[in-house]
Amino acid sequence: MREFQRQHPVFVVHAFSKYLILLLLPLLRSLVLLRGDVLTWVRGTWFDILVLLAIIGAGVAQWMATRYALREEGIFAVSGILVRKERYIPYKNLSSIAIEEPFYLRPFRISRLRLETDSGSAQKADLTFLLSRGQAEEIIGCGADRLADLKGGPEGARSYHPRALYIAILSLITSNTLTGVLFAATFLSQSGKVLGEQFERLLVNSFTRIVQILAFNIPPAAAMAAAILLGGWAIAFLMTLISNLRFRAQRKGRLLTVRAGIVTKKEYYLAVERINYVMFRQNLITRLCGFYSAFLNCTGYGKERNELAVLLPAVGDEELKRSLRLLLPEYRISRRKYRPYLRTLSRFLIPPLTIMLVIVLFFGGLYLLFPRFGRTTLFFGLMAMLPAVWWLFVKIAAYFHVGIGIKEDIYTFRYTFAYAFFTVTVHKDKIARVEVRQSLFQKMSQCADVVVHTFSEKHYHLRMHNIQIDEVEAFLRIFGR
Amino acid sequence: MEGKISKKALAVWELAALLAAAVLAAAIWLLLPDGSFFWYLLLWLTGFFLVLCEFLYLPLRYENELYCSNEDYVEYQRGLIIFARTRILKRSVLYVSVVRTPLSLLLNTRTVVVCSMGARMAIPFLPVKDAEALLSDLTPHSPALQPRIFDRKGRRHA
Repeated sequence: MREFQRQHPVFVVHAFSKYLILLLLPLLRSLVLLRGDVLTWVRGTWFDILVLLAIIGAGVAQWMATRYALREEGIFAVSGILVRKERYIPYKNLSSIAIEEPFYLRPFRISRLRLETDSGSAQKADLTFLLSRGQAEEIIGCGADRLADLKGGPEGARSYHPRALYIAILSLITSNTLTGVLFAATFLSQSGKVLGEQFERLLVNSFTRIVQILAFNIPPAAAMAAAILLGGWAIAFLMTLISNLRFRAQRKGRLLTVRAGIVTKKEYYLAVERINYVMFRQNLITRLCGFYSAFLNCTGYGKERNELAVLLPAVGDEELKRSLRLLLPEYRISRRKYRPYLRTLSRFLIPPLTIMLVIVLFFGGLYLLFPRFGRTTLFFGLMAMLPAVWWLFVKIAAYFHVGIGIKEDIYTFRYTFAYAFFTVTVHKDKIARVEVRQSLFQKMSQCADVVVHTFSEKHYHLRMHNIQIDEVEAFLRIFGR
Repeated sequence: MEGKISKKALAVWELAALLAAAVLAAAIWLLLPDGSFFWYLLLWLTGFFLVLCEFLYLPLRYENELYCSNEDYVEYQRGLIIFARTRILKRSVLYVSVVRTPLSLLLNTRTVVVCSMGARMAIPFLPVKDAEALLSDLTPHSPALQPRIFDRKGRRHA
């Protein structure tokens, strides 16, 4: 039995860094701008100083209370001041170990370590420590390196290094406008809090001026909406690009190691037998170009906010099979065995066509009722029609995509959700539940939806629409064995 | 092992439908002007749908409520307008719960909830005996199996 160890002392300030910055910066600013003596400054800011000391005190107490010890078969951790928690996690139950090194901690050789099992909270890691690099490597040696020596996986070490262009394609596929908009909004409000309202106003004014310059011959409201959408998307694109640059994946034995990031360096050690499924994602453009992005579902990987569980950032058809054989030969994509028939094509087309009709009627009505706003109505009508037309194309392509393939115990499910095309390969033992749903209309066209729930920390399901009913029965017979 | 849910479920649903129709009828009676066209129309429609529910929809829906359990899986089917069959493989069952509510205490029924990682399935209105039998049939008697990825496929890459 080894001795208990503590986290790195930097934890004292790191744990409450958000609140410390909010308090410390105004205090330092008032000290710099001080006209009188220090005593006058203390008299004016004594309450802030007391709160600051209380925060540091709480950090010290938490640092003292959190300890861990590495045992032969698992890790024993103690935490909490008022509510004390003692936890023992056997190494063989670990799904993943993640190490994060943000740029500001790297000079001190400090890492944030997260240990994850299939159990516990879906939002937080089971154990999180702020450790020196040496301590973190010791835990990895105990928890992850043993997986590399276990029999069962491919022989030797296999590595995958994608080109930077592929990372850009991944960012193109996965960038979410909302994430970018939220990031920009948080940045603006936080900068206002820390650097003062004047700076926040300066940022907002600059943004408005840029929009005014760019809004040439477009209604101002439309220009603002377009600027927010485009700006948000561009920010999200950059965030994804930066966090996935220098992506590396390595397979050794039953261990899959993934490294990525330049500003915050991340390393993930994943137990291959704990991978729940491998997902390949495309949008209409990448589908036409023949590109895929592959993601993993393994507890702990991609769990943090704005983090993606990438396996292959972007690959072509042939390279996909080669790279998958290289890293995860246990998972193979099979052809569609069960699929929708031609007579169910209309079931794919009805939803987008209905939405297009509703848009035409709504904006046509507005155009007739309020001719004064005709130009703006026409603009917004066209803007609303674009995603509906795009969805129609997606649905046409979906008919040729949706289906189920089976190769021994590895199932391949193909489905679409919104504008994305998904192909998911999953081991039969990782399927938690299968549901067959049939509405009255589907009964008439003799088809049904197959809903598959896979093993996952968060509930996750995939829905294959309009599969022929006799093929669904055949699938259930195979699945039931 | 297979069976149906308790007939008391049908009585509960019919009573619930009757109560809902009574509330709706009372609202129409009080809120709309007496003897108007809409007053008659809505009252007749409420009565029509109540009869449809009580004598056609709910009995047929009850007939569709079936569960079965064999060596490999447990399956529960339900629904009439949207018919659904849910299946969970027995080897992926992590634990099974039997839920008792004040209503089920009154009806002498239980709800069996089958839990797996990432999914659950609830079979309501089971007679107590059937619920106990299903519980002992589904409860995993050994730890949940690790996926057999390496047992079979591992040798191929060795």
